[in-house]
Amino acid sequence: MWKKLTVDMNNLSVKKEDVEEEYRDLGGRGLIAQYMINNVDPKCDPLGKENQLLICNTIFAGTNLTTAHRISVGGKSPLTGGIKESNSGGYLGYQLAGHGIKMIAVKDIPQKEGLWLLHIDSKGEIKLKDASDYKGLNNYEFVEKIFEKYGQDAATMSIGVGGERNYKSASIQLSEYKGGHPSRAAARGGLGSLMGSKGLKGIIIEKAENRFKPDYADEEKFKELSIKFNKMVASGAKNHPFHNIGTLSTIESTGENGILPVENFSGKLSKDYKKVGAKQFMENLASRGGSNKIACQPGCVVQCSNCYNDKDNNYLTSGFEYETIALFGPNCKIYDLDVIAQMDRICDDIGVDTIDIANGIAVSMDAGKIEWGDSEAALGLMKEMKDGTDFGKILGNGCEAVGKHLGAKRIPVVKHQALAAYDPRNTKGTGITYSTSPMGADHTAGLTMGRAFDDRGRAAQAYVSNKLQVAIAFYDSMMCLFTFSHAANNLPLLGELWAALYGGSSDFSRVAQLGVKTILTERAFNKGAGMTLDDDKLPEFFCTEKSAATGSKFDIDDYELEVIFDF
Amino acid sequence: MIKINEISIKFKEGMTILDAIIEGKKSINQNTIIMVNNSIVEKDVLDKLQIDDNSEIKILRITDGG
Repeated sequence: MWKKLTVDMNNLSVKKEDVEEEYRDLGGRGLIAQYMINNVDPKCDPLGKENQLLICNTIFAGTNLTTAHRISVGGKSPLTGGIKESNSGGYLGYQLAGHGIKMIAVKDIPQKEGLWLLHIDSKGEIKLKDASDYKGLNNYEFVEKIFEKYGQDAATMSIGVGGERNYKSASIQLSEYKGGHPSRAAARGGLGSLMGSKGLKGIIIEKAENRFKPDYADEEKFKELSIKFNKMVASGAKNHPFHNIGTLSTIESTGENGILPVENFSGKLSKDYKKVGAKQFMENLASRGGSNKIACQPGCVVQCSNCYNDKDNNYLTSGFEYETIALFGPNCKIYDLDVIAQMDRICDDIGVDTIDIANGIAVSMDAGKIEWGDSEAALGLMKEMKDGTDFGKILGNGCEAVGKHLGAKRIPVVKHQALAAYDPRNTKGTGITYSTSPMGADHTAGLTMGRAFDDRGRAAQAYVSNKLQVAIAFYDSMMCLFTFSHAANNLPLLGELWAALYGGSSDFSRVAQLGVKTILTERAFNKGAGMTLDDDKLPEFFCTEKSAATGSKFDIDDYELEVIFDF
Repeated sequence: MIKINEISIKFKEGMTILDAIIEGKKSINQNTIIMVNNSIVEKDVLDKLQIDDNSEIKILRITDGG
């Protein structure tokens, strides 16, 4: 039987009990939505005692299904003010499942100032430990000290000073499988700040001596189906750019078609994007002893991660992704992969979202605080964020805070959260997703690029965004999104797998209903939190300024946005 | 022999990378990346670079964002 841990930070206690029947066959994003609507007042202060920090395994955790150990973190977002689910790779989901724990709910806030660690040892003994010695440490140093004390096979999840200082863009960093670097992130929506408000510095999970095994409804059937699924994904991944290069490969398409953001979403085409493109990236990996095709969690056959070394062949960062490179790169007019890798490392170390911070830097450049392309000045602002100066704290609060402070006119956010690296004028379905997703401007909620008839046309964009948002809502409950394109032609298999594990109907409609229910529940939470249809809008400049690259504006009618979830 | 994704074609002396792709009946466009022996080759030189026997060409299609 799967267990739930309830950690009460007010009396510093931990309770372990069976997962309630209502949540038994849920996981990830779907579980977070359902738990939040049942247990957290949408009007609560995100950093107050009523909010909860949720850490959830997926529906398929504990099995050998590829990428089943994605971890979802949730709560009311300190950044958006709405519900938030932010998921991450890394080792923690696998270790958590090894102890038979489906979810952790962290409640209330400490009576006195302090920091604590939640520690689960190899025998499954759970303790909340004083972590005052770790105060002020950033994630890389924290993890190093944890490995010294608990061994390299422990999995970690932690906050740096970003979370301790309650920066609204604070991330939660997870250690990667084998490498151990804290470079995987539940980055979006400031959940690191929520973790900091609970006084929780980190969660440490040792490898279980006796690994938990789920109660399969039909184990043989599940085994047969999961082998089929894993083979299908591995076969697709073999000739996919994410496996052979990494997610940065996306820039080779967006750089050509105007989707890549350039100089704070100016709409220009970048002539120089190849300087930070896939070829340069691969050459740097090869010449410096870096690597790609890395699995961030056990059993992953997609293996999209990487390890990027500096010019002296020393480790600099890992999990170096398209969003980070595009937004610190062309969107800030910075064309040096090594500088961008330093920025990625700083963000992971402090524990802040690269998307919101890179957009904040671009807005600083657009508003004239620093010059376009001045990487030294940009690194200087990031140092301020690390040191906690007045402007550093504003930057830590994300793109919108920077824009408002500087009086900027062009602030690329929806629901206070910065846009990812896709210009919505040239992938309009993605613009609809940015606008209407309960998560705020989140590309992972339904990136339509290449899936609509014409990325710049209006036809069927809302339809495609709707279908993808539903699909991603159930996918975020089950496994890593990067298996989706390999499984998209055989999605009914998910229903069969779900039934073989938990019983019940194997019909795909059960899966689709999970996606619809999750989105509607999230929308209901946001409505309770005070959000209205006015929050489902892109910044006006995308509707009034033409993309210089294509002449396209974001011209989707408000009505289409308003009815998108009228199922 | 030259391997292109999951198929193999016969090597011919002097053939370019583009010749091999055409021989393998593979299409390329703005959303494809070409790798030869694990190195990315820009599309504008595919018809200029000769390919060696026993090479592996990968035609990678960008279908997702990062």
